[in-house]
Amino acid sequence: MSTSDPHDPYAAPSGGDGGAQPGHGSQPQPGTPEHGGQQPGGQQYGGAPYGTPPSGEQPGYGTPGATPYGAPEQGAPQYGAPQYGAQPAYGAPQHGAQPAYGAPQYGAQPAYGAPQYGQPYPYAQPGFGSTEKNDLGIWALVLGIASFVLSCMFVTGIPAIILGRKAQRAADEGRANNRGMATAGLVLGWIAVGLSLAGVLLFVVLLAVGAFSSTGYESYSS
Amino acid sequence: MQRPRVGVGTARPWWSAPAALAASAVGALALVALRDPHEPGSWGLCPSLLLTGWACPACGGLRATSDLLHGDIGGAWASNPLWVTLVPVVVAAWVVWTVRRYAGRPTRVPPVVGVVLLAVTVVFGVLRNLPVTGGALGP
Repeated sequence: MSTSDPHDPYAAPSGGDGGAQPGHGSQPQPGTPEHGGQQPGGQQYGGAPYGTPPSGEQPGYGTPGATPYGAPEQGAPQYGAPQYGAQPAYGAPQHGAQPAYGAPQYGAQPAYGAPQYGQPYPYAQPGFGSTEKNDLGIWALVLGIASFVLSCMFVTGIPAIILGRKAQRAADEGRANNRGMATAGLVLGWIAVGLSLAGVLLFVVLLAVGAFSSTGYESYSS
Repeated sequence: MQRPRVGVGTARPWWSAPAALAASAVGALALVALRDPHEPGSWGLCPSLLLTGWACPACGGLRATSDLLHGDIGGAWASNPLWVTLVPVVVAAWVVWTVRRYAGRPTRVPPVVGVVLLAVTVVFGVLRNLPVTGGALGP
């Protein structure tokens, strides 16, 4: 990761590895070294105009955990000094270990790949459109779909509603950018719960009316 | 590592959630062991099966669980192969979760896992209702 692009104003100086990082409390440049961590070797984020939320939803999908340094998603220069000061509390293993962002912090990554996102790191503040809490919306949608396609109904429908609401709120606060997905999951969840209730009601009514008397174990008392 | 355990500073210890989940799972297994799902109607009826006539991906799950509890893996596989495959995954997931809580590591599951699971389950649900593959995958 020592390819420093001379045209890249935000590139880490000389790739920033080799332990040259004096610790994160003393950032002379705005948010430099962590950009590289966004993707392996990716210094392209440095070049991106800082307004854009460059990541969309990708980092959620297993990018080696650079993202707990929350900020680089937004890349805004103001994320330079203040947040990195907070990191040493987590043992900032960045010195000289840039490429493997995921590994040093979290040790072996077990079955679920790089853990990132949803970390309540205090400095992972949004410029609007952060993708920090995108997980919620995605799970809400998955559960909402499952409640229909898999006939799970209220079993996954209720979590879909809960997660959908949380995801909506997160998106409104700027900590996620998939409000549409969240709404979809929420709506599906509500429909599933509604249908379940209607179904249960119908079942109870039919049972009371005796529509099931020809099946099952009611004894034929005729 | 100076990482604090999950739950340090809160009223609940780190093992409370995994333990609660494990306890409820054991309770559910006990219920299945006590009330044999192989007897028709012992666990009620299946609304989706009645309404659509198709086996949802969970069909046979209770019977499979009962068979597994009695050691009959072949029978369990015949009832619901997806569930039989997922049981070790679920157990492993619980272990991983507990270990992460112990070590204070993040327990976030990337949503990719959920999407993949959903896709696999849907495909399974479709396949088990088709004439060609329904024999092997059916309830």
